[in-house]
Amino acid sequence: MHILVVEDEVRLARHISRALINAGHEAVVLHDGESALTATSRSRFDLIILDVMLPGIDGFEVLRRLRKAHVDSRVIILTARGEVTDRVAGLSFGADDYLAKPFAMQELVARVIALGRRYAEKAPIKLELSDLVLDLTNNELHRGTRKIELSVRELTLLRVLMREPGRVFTRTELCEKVWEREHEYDMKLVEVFISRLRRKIDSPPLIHTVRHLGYTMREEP
Amino acid sequence: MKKWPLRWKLALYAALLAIAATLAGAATTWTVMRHREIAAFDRRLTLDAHELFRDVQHFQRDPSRGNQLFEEVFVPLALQHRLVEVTDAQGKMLYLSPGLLEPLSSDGIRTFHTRKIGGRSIRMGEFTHDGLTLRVGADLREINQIGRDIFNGMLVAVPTVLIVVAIGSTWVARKAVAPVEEIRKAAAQITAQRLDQRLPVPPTHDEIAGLIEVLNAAFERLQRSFEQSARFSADASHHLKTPIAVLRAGVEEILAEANNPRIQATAEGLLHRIHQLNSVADTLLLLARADAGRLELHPEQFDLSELLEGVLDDARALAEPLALEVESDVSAHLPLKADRVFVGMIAQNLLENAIKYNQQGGRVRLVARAVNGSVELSVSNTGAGIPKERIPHLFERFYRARGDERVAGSGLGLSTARELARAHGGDISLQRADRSWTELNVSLPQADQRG
Repeated sequence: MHILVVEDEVRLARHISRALINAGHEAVVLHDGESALTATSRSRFDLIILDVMLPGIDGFEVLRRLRKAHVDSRVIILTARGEVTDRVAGLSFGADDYLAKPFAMQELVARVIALGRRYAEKAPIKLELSDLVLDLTNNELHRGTRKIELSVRELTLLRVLMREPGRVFTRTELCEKVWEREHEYDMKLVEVFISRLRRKIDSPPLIHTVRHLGYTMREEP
Repeated sequence: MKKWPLRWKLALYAALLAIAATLAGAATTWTVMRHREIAAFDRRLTLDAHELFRDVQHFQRDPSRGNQLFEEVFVPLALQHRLVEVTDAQGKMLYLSPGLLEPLSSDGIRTFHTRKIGGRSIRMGEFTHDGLTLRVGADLREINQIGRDIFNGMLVAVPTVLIVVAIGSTWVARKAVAPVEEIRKAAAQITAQRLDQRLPVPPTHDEIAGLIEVLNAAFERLQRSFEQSARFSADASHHLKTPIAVLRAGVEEILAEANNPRIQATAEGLLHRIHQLNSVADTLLLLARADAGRLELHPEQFDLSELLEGVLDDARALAEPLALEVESDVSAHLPLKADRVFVGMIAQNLLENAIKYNQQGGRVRLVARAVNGSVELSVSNTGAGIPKERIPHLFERFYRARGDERVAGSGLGLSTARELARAHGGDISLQRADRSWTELNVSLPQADQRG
């Protein structure tokens, strides 16, 4: 995809563009709203990653003017304020997605991929890995024929891991995806719930620790 | 009297002052009048004396009369309540009026003086003429009447003055205080949401106008610092979160690219710290917003029992290694209209504290039920309790009731929870804190029930 990154913080912009390039996209980096408007009027981007707080014209205004000029590129808003108001404002101005700082770069890349295939793909009804089946319609988990009872958090955690088999999630990322709020003990909680899931899913193991990185789910160790 | 309205106090002081002034005036009048009356009295006595001498001269020119005839001459005077004593040059008593029981001893020549005779105040004059000494006196009762008249006058005048002054000064005081009352009303209109309001400055250039100008200047400064703090919470979130995002992106990149396990371990540890830092920044920004009165709630309808299920799940996970028992008594269906994220934070903060300040093998209990349309949570736990002297500080920021540095935590949990409960129109209160059981109660009204 041809992606425009508008972020005034130079280093963050560089990290974002590097992550996007590593994921196989083309990235153009700009640092203010004015030049972003100029660039979008000259060439077409598939996706714009837009910071809200920009020098001069802010992100919301850029977005408003883009939509007014019928620029139909998809837009992901980056904001410092993880507040609902910002999200609502962003989405009502025509943003397609929203990410609060700080975010995991993998998360951004995952959102970019999701937006790319958004209209083609249907939401899965079942998540499957080996003989482990999670039915998303009634939240029932089976390993083979054995039914496994899960608590609320165990279920959410498993859903996150099973959705992207093979991907390594850091504990920090799992915290953010499973718990809605910051938690003083969240690292500990991730460990506790991972070990509970492991016990319940039993052998052969499907949840693997990637040393110093995090956890992943896959068939082979 | 300290609690009296200003205008009553002013009226009282004015009345007291008026009475003092009236009494002082009366006393002065009395002194002056008495002085003048005595002078007039003395003149009358002198006239009497001169008349008497004239009569005596007539008698002395008429040799046919004897000494005893003196009485006839002086009787009319004696009847006029005069006291008279006549002596000749040799000091021989020639006449003593009936009012006098004994001679008036002369203690040196004094033209006029007052002396006490038989318990009465007597004004005396002493005159000499042709070898005769004449002492004439009269009772001062006559002029003491003036003092009584003034006193009687005061009896009537003082209450009259009091009433007039009290009414008058209440009116004046009310008029004087009226602008202050106006200021009070106008100032009450100025709230955190309407800080741009100012008090109307009257066209006069008196003290009240001066006061209003000073107050307006103070409101101006208040508004400016308030806006600064509001801007701070917006700017700070940007200025804190963006560098955290940069840090995190950098560390993630290192983590993803490093092949050295030592670097990976370090990077992962750093990532954890960045996450914690972000969490603290979020809490501080939340409190800053609450302080600035800009905490925005986004009420939605949800089932609290479902939310508590997750929170209890976490609590049991944390309690397990400490061998704590987590009991719960949550009604099956608890519809609540409130900010879901904030309510979750309240429950989570309280349960975390209940686990943190517990004892090995202790208990934690969460009760939630609907009470009169609002929802009540109760979180209680075993543990060492909270020392009495620390209870008043329990909800202060960065305060830790046990003062135990071994227990990790920022000391923001309870103060944040209370801030959030209050933002919902509810509150948190300590129900019990003895050595065996600590219990905190949270009340959360439904969002649309609040005024």
